[in-house]
Amino acid sequence: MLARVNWEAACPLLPRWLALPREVRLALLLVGSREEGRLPREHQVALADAGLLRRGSGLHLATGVESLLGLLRTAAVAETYQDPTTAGSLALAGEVVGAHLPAIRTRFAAMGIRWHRDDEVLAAASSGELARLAAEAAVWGWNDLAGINLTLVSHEHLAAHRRSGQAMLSWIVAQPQAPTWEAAVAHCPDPAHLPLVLRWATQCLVLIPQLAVQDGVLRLGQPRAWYAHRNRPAPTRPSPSPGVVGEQAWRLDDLVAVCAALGAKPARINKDWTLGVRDLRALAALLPVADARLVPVLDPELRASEAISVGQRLELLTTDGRQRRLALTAAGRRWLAQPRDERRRLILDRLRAACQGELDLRRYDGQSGGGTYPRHLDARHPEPWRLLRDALRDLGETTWTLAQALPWWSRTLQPHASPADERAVGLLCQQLVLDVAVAYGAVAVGEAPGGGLLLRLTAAGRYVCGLDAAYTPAPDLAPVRPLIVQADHTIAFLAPAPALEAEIGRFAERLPGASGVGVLFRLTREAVQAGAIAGISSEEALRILIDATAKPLPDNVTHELRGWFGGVRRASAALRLVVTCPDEATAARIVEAARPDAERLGPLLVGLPPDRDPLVLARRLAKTGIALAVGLDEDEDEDG
Amino acid sequence: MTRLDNPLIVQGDRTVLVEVDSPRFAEVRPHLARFADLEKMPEHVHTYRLGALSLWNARASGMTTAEILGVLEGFAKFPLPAVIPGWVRDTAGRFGRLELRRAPGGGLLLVAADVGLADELAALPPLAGLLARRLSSTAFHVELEHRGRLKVRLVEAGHPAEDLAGYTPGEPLIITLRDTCAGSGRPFVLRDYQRAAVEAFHCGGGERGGSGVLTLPCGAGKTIVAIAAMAAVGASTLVLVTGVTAARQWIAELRDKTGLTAEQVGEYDGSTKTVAPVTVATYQVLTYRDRAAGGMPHLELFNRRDWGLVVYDEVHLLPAPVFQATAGIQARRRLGLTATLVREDGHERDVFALIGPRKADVAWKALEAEGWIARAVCSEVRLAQPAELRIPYLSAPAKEKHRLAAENPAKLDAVRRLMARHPGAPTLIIGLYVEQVVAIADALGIPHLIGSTAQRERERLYAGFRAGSLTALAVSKVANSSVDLPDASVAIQVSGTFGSRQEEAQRLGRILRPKPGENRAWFYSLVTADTVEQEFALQRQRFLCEQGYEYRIDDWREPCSPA
Repeated sequence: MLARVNWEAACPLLPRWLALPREVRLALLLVGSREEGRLPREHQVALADAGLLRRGSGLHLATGVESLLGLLRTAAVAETYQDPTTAGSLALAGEVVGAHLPAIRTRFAAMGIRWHRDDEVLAAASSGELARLAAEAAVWGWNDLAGINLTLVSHEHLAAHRRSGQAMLSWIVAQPQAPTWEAAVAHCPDPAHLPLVLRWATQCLVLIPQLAVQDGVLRLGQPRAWYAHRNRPAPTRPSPSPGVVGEQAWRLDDLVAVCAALGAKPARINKDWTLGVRDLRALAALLPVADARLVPVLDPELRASEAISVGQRLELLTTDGRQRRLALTAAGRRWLAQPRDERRRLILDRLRAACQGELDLRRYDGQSGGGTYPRHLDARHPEPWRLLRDALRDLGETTWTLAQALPWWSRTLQPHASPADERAVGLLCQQLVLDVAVAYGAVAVGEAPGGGLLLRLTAAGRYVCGLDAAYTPAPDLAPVRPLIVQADHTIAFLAPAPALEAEIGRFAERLPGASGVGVLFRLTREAVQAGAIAGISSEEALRILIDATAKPLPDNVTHELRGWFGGVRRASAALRLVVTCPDEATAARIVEAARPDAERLGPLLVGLPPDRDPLVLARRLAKTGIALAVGLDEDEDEDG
Repeated sequence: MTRLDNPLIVQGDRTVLVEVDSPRFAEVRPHLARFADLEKMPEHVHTYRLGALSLWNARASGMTTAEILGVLEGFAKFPLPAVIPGWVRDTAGRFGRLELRRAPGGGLLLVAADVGLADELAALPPLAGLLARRLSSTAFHVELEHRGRLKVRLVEAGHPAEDLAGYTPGEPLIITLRDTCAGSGRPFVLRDYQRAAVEAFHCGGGERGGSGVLTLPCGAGKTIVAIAAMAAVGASTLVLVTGVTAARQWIAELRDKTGLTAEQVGEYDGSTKTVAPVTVATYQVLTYRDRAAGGMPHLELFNRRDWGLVVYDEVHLLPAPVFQATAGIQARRRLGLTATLVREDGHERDVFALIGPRKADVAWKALEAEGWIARAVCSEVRLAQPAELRIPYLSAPAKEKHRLAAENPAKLDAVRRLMARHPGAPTLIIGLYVEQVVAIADALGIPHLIGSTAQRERERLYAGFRAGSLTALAVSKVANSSVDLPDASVAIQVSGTFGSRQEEAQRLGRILRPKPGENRAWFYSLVTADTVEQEFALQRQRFLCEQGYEYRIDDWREPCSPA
């Protein structure tokens, strides 16, 4: 709305407008409406005398009055949802300073703020100190300061003034307090055109003249509140908070569970490339139960979808549009066959690369909660992970509460942000920590003694942040063996262990509806062989079970597992051109004639590469006295 | 609140997992067994299932709903799933809201706890014709002959009736238990669990006792418990068993353990039809259908005498016609005996309604620990298929593969080597295919017992086996049930269906009876590796492990096979 106001046109009329009595000013608003006939004659006369109304076949607004009214309506609109004082300030700012949208954008850009929508601009402009300080500009009188001179200047001149203004502004902004008028002017690169430079800077709201009331000294600079915010005391660094934390790379576990399931049996995809509801539910049912403190309240199907999405981006999963199925890739199979720490390392490498700015993090992982980030913040922080990385690195491996850390992080990320922005950045950080850092085990979480979340950087987190050059998984201080493998081939979980669930799900069949605790898996030949095909070895599977089981592995289970793993054979399939011979001698002759590609497939069968042209072969064999029929009619053969 | 030292994990699907190694396992097990059915008992974590019948069994035994929930909540590691307490309250609370009593003027009264329930019953189509008339807002008159059918329908409708209509006393018969066995002269004393089972069934002769099922593992002395129950009832008794051999062994036991004379015990089967104060009849003869006259004439045996007690041996095998006949004798006391209440036909509800609720359930692990049954070690011996049979096997139709694998000639040598491991030990060689059983018997020079073996010859073989003059006997599947071979300590299964849980339980049961010395028994299964037989054996392996037996796999495919 502000953008449509031509302040240049409205401004000369404003003093006249302000000089009119209130009822006359209100009367003007009726012109052009169906109520204009009720406009008292004396008001018409007053308006006409002020040059705001012209007479003709009816009542018409004078040139520029439309713009003036637009400005006023903007103020009126603002007044409907903002407090009158601020709205009034905004109106005044608009009237006096002539703010328009590009100018405000520029102004905010200079403050490190980017906006997406006009309403955000308007809301921001009318909400804080900016409007109040714009009002201060009105007190000084724009005309006096800028020495308004409406003479036409060339584009080159304007550009030069703009550059000069920017240079001067840079210096002003860098000062801890608003400098005096003299000091600011002294830093103007183009003193000869100081009025124009000032006009540009002020009109664009990049520079607000302020009156230091205490000493009567005119200063040029940012709004006072801006300096107050900039010079606010440093936040208190999060202090260590005692408590027990646990880590659970639940998204990694989800990814393993989904990849293992899709490795065993690809899922069908719909024409719109989405997964079928039934398959999605089946995958969701396989996800390990996660600690509710660690995992945000996410629908299991959403978790499965996200795991698939991550798997696709990591190229562990792929959709085959022709066969309409979602399946594990060769890379996914190799990844799945890796030990857990190695699998995790691959994910952490990606996060680390993103933190180093080598990978676009938003493309890598912005799925959960991505839509809930404030848009302007998301845009303003194209590399939030690099900033968050710095915050996490600084926190190190002490244990602190999330609430404690939020303002501190915010300040780290955006030293000059407003309090509202600090809160927003804090929320962004929180989401990134919980959705990504915790989800991949970079941050461990616990329950603070007084409530709330307790955080600590993990070994994985140190690696991601670049504190450690290599990822060294932290050894279990107190190894917990939460499961029991029983002789009937069932695996019972006596306590929740989602990571183990994901591990075991690679080569064991999850029992229907089982998750969390209880008898969750059964070792079956089919599941074991699917795991073996995916690249898991019997020794690895046994190691996982032996490390996690509270009781010795039953002998019969060990025996069967080894047998099932050992029963997997790898065969290869290839297309061959097969020549059937009447006797072994002919077969030998064909092999001789078709060297070096021919090979004996059997006493009477000779195999050739599939790309071998049978007609060429037939001609070649014909020279040795062998007539080769290539599956065509003899006539066609001859024709060919 | 999470209490990880507790033994129970209660799941939303109504299964209850019990950690055997928990320090509170022994404490919770007897309570849990009263209201949950044991499904699996592998070595570390047992699985029980809560079901309507199991809860009603518990209520019938006097357990309250609050006590049931108290056990679940008090012993659970984790808080109960939200659905469980409500379901338990609703289901268990249904028992006792209907009572079947004797009407003062003859017939029966079905009394509902409230008008709403009575109205619901009146509107239920399956009950039409069974409820003669409504006497009041909460009471119905029921004809005597509808007692059994009504109970079945009510159970099906989810409203079990507590049968308090009492029993006809039956023809009095004093049955005294001997202090020493007549045959061996050894002291005869009831074991504690046997005495407790009898008391649970009899309930001092009150209305809440007198009908029910006792679940005891193979080798626990079900026959002894039944005889003691007969003595407690003190009335003429009809005993129904699975076959002639079992019938004769019952009679022998009765003569051995009680003061009953030969005239007081009758045999009623295909060859003999003596009706005495204690009559032992077979299911086969009762369900014999006379094609000429039509119907099953021997079912009339139920009414030939004024029986005070009917005993159903192996109640999980009770044939449908006997169920129907049982529905008409609900005024008589009824005792079911079984090692497992799992019926392959799923008629557990009929057993509950017509025979009665479970009165006792003795864990075999407890018996094994006390030495009342032998400790069985199950071994699967895998043998290679001879090379010359491999191609014929692979190219055989699917239905012939099993037989080709089962009749692996290498099994004969394996049997020899296994028998050499246990020299002199009473050994049963069990097979599915008669030709194979006979061939092995002939090769080893031992007698065989198959379906066509005459009864007299069978008894001679059994007697020799018991006496120790025979140490090895090859049997076909005729030996699956109720063959009492007290001294068998080794069983070698050369072929089997490996699919039936009952068959496995029964075969294993042959060797569970306590043995002198280290009280151990060995159950070997010979399996041809890499064939369908191994697939079937896997099911068997799982089943036996679920039952808690130790299971080993010996691979004898290597040239240097274990000695």
